[in-house]
Amino acid sequence: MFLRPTNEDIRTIAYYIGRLIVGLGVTIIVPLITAIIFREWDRALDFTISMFAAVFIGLLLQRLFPSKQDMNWSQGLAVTSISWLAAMFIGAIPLQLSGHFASYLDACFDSMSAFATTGLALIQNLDHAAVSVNMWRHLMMFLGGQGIVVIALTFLVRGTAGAYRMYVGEAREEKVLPNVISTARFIWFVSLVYLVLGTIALTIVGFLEGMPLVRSFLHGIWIFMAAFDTGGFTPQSQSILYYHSFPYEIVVTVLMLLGTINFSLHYALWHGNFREFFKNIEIRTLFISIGSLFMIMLVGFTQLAVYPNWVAIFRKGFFQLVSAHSGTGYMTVYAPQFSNEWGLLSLLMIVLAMGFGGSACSTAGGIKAVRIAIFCKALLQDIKRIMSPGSAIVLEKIHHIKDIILEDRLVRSALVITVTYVITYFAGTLVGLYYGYPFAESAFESVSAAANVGLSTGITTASMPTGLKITYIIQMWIGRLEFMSIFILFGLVIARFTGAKGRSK
Amino acid sequence: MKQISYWSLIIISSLVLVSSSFAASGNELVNNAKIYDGQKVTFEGETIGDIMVRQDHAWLNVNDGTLAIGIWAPVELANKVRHTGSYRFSGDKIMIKGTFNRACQQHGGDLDIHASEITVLKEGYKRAHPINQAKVVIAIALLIGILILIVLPKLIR
Repeated sequence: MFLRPTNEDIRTIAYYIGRLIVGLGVTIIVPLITAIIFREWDRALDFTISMFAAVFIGLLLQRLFPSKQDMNWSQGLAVTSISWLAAMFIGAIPLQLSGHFASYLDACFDSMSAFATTGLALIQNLDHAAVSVNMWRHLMMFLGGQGIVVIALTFLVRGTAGAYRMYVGEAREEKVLPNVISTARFIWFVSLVYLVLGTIALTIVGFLEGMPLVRSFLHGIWIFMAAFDTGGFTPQSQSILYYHSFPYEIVVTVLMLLGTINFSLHYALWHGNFREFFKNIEIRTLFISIGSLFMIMLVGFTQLAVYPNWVAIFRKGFFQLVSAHSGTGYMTVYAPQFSNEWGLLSLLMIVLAMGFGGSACSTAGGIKAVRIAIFCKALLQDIKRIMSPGSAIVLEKIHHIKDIILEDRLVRSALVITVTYVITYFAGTLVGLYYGYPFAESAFESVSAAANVGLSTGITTASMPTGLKITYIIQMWIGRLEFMSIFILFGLVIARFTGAKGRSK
Repeated sequence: MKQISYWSLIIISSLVLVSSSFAASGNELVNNAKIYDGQKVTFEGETIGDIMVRQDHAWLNVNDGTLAIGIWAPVELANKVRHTGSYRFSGDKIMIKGTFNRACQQHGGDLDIHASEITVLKEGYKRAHPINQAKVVIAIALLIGILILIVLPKLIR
């Protein structure tokens, strides 16, 4: 029996959404200051309007729906799912005002792609975009990768049970530290330290490869934000191919791999527990997965003589595989080359890598390494049970920071999310087929959107059908939040009309 | 005499055919990369971003409106380009003649063009970015709205 959401529930949800929108509006000051520094006065006006609009809307919600109560589970998850939609609409305002988009829908597409760290883009004339516009595009990716709710927990929300409920709604179940506020602040701390180190590394390499210092620095910040947050936006239309640089690709690969690592593991490494890196089930799973998929990809490349030497195979094949597996979506090949030159075997390896994804509680998307590991261990356990005497108790465990016994409820939980991902991949593929795209390309693009990767075979363009744009926006949204908070939101909406009266706890 | 003229025509025609290159757009080159691989091509577009000098050669990226392709050119050819495309400038429009590589052996499998000739067709120019007065009005209206929302509850109390 579902309880009907009360007016008090709606007031609480709206109030906290208002607070998050104000917080998001304040972050627009970064591209605004950038526009002022670089004397991009028309863009400065765009960002001023956007910041004022966000603050106005956020304050209006708080004034219309005042609330002092803490959030329960369904309210917290609803706030998370709606906030991400609100962030998309707010984030799209300066993009639309910049003149680089054919429509507000296209701007929303890129905004959701940024916050969900996907990287599919509909922006036009990117090579002439202002510095401030690129700053906002990449900053959205950085904010989304950390988690919009994580930002709120760090700065805007008091340490309450409701805070944890929002945190979980953002597909972050793991508490790195006992307190969720401390966890959020640790995630920020690690990210900012890597921001400094990663930007310095990319700036140096960019400069040595022939870029002017200021542009090397700007590209360094942006590429770091998009690589560590496994998002995949770049300031130029050719993605990472723009730089024509093996050293640049190496630094980017390291950053993508760092972004794929669970923040709990970052915490362990930060405190000198290096053994954890080798014992951790997610690292082992990722290692096996990347290694196996690369081996099969090599067979595909060799069969079709795609690349002339091992350097080329590594720079193209391995880089794209890591880009896919981490969910970054950086490209060092052109989109049509996937279909025209790689062959179905190598293309399938990329699709599997995208689908599997990175670590839980990281910036990566996809099904997640820990769930893949749970399935494999569960399968092993079942085989052992069959082969053991009837009275034997067969226990299987995984090591993720600590040893965890593999229980049926853990397997069930992983299975539910995995099946939901697969259904989402399939649904997006069907929509692509409906619009007349070939099966392989439709499946590739659907998995790329839902797993928040951003690689493209060329379907994602400004001219693609409106229905497909909306489909991919929804896929990016639900893929990033891993379904539960969105299902709760829909449940609340339905219960508003059909639920029984009563007070929810 | 007639036979000599006939053979001359064939030889000259062959020389013309051998020295000519295929003119193609970025999309055509990428979508038919296997066909164009190793062929002499002519490609036109706007130089964008940075000219990245690497010892005696440089990378330019040229966008013809369909997509951008990397051009590997000797520094003396790259130096012909004075403006590159950005927020402030439209870059020089250039014509490149060179060898198209689907997966360049020298450059780690990159799809690129090794330029043997660069001609500047049209010089770049500064781009105007006027302020939209309607946007100023909207900004002021929103600011007034924010101030009202901040001050009004205090007045009501």
